[in-house]
Amino acid sequence: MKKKLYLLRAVKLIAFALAVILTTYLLQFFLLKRIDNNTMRMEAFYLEDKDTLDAVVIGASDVYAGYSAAYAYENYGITSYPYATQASPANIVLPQIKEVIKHQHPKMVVVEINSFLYKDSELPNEASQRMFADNVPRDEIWRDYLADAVPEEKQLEYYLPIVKYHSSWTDYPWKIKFLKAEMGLKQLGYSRFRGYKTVANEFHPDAKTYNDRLPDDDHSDPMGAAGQRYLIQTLDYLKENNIKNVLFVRFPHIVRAEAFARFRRTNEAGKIIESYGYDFINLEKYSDEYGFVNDKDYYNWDHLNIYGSEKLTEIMCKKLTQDYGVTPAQLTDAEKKSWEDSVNYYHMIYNYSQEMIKRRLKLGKVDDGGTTVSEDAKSIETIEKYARNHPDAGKYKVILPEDQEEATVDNSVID
Amino acid sequence: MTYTSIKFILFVLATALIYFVLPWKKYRWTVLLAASAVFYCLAAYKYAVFILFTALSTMLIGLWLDKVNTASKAFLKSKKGEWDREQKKAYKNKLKVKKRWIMALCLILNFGILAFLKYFNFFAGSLNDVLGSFGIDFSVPTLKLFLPLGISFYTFQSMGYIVDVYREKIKPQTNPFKFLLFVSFFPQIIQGPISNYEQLGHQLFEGHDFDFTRFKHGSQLIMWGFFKKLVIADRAVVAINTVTSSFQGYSKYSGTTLTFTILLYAFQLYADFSGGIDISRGVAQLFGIDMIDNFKRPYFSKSINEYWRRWHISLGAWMKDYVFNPLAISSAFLNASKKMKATRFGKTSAGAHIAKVLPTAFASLIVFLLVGIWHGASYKYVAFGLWNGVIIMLSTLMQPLFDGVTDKLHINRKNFFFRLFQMVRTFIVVLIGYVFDVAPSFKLGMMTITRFFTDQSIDRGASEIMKLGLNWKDLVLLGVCVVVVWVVSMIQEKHADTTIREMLDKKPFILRFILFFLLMISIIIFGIYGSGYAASDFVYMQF
Repeated sequence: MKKKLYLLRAVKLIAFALAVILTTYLLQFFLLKRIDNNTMRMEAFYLEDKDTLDAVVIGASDVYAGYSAAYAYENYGITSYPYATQASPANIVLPQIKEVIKHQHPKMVVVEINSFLYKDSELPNEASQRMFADNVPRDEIWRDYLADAVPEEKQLEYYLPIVKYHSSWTDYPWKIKFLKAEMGLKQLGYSRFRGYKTVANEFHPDAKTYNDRLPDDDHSDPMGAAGQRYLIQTLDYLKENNIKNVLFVRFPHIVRAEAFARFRRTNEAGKIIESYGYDFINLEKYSDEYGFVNDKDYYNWDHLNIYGSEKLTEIMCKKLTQDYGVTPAQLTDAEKKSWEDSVNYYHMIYNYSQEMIKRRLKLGKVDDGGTTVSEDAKSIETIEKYARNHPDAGKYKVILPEDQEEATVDNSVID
Repeated sequence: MTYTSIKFILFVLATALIYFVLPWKKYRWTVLLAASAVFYCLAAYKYAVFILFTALSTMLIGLWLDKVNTASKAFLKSKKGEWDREQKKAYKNKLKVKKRWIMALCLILNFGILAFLKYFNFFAGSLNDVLGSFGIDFSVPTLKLFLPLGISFYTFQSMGYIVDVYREKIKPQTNPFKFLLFVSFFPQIIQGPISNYEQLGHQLFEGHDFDFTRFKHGSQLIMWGFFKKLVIADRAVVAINTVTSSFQGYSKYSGTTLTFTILLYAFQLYADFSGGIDISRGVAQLFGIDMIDNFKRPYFSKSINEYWRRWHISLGAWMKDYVFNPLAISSAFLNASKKMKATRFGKTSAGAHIAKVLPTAFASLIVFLLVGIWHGASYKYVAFGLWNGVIIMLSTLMQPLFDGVTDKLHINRKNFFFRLFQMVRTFIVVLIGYVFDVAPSFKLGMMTITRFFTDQSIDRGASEIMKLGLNWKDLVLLGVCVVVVWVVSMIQEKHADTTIREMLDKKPFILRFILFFLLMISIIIFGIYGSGYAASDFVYMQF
């Protein structure tokens, strides 16, 4: 009798504990999590079939705003991905390279060096680290990263994200647009935007710019101690492991007085990189020569808009294919279809953004503003609606399903 | 290691495991002592010397008192038939004086430490102000003093013990380690309740067997405490701190916002303190130990007197046993009463009443002045204590007048609306007291009360409230929590002879399962914890 009672109590207790643990688990991985365009981009990388990417570009926001994988596929046939998160700190570059090599073995890994250029006084915060750490597989690379970058007393929050993110219930209903998109992403099995994010804006600098002076300026300023340490650690790792297919680049930015010291730190970083025998291409230094126009190709001081990103992707593709021998991989029909879908969505993004830019220009708006287009449910709905209502608008042709070609024109979606 | 940390939960579970696994029931108390020592040292090992001193001095003086008692009894026995009544009386009086001196030694030593550490700077500052106002160029230097963890609680508990030994109410503890456990029992060290030895002592030293029902009830009480502390108190404190943590807050915000803040503070303070006590009592219950409850739905009180019988019950009981009663029956107070009765005024019906209740009224005033000072070394706490004391004193003195008015107006005292009026009236009086409790200074407390009446603007208040660090979702959640706590309190009030946990035991398993599951998930989702959301310390920890 007593045994039965003990058994019953044990079963009840276990049932209660399991219900709480299971609910908590589901909540933390589906509802109470940090989710934004960075999460989507990182998650989508791991949805790509193994060893199907020809190139991966690692870096910060200037990578996902400046490099369009869909454009690269459409025009050069190469499959690539911007493995990038906002304000990514220097200590995640090496784990990022390891992740990329572990999951894809691309022909070329391109590292945009922004992460190494922060001064010690302006190092990115915990949120920037988490954009990487929260969204990658819990593997050895991840554990090594935590051991290196996260204080011991805070590591529990990485193993149990709910400790950190339980309060994110207040983000609803705003967050629903990303949750919906995430569900769609997982259902589809690939990212329609292939990690691309832009802001529909044409920024006109309102302060003196120095891009024309950069080609003649070879001065170096010392890097931040952390940035330099992590750059050297990365280069040491690459050298020790005989990883040669890595290219370091600096994407173009509008250089104003405040950013001039950063440019000179770039020169220093370039020297260190080259001393290890790796190539470094400084597109910022020669941005004028490469054809980037300060009051046409950027949506703010540091990020290229749709016009600039096409120029940059074109340059990068030429270099990758011509100078580094990157050739298109053999894709299955399903993989081809997914890339064609991304190309189509890129066209929608481009056309919609172009229209938005035109409208802003008409209103005389050339400041640091504009409409954000990222892979969330609201953006997808907006660009699809625009494409349905303006099938012939814009630079690119959008392929619409047959039954939607006759849609009525609705200008309200772009107001 | 705060009570709401994962470390504490693991610590408690590990202690419970060792406690119940230890085969020698007789020595299980040593597990509690070891756990209490570890807990105290982890929190404040530098100050352990103070608690050790209090425990050791109190125990030794207790033994001394007992020795005097035993010796005197033996002596009196030996003088049986030899001494007459007068000689015995004289000896007893002498003995009483001697015992008083011994007890006073203990009280002076231990209250002295507390007073020095807690109040020295306050008195030095006040003295300097007074000297300065007379133009005397002398100042007492202020010192960098620290307050050992739990000093108010363990000092009061120990001094209660010595008074009980003095009164021969209890036999003193002879084992220093057992006494140290009584003084330092880890679930109560941070914020009480202040237990008496008679009620708690024997429970601590008995070896309790594992009892599933007690363990379950203890765990449920802990969960409820976590809910009140993490979901309610630590959420509300964000808005309260925005307004009250700086002097500027008081002039920046409207009277409406200040009113809202004080209302929120009432709710936060109750959730914080009673939540902490629930955790303490729940943890003790896991080990089979019942600690006294410190709260009995205080905001349902119909008078301020009743409020203090329902709020911080253990402090109230301590004050009643060791301050109020001795004062109220002291010869000085009784003589004053007698003298008043003999006057012409004392012969009138009002005068007779006042003369009768004068000792209790004055004793109340002194008790509440002490309660105020116990809360902290600041004039605002003096004001807080005086406010409560004066209200209680006046209500005691004017009771016949209130009764007469109520009778004249033919008010049925059992009428719902009359009782509701009494509750609201009492709550307002309590809120005014809280103004001094929460304000950084007495002056700002007075300013806040003025602004309650002169600076009300619903529009301004509404827009300010939304900018106090809580968004509308947090405010809605707090509103829902108020309702939940209110419903639970109503049920408790209606069934005061039992606990909700016992009542739930009689309900179907699935209902209990759902309720506690929801409670647990609410704590996980809505609780304020984790880095960046560090749970604030328990309010009463600072006292």
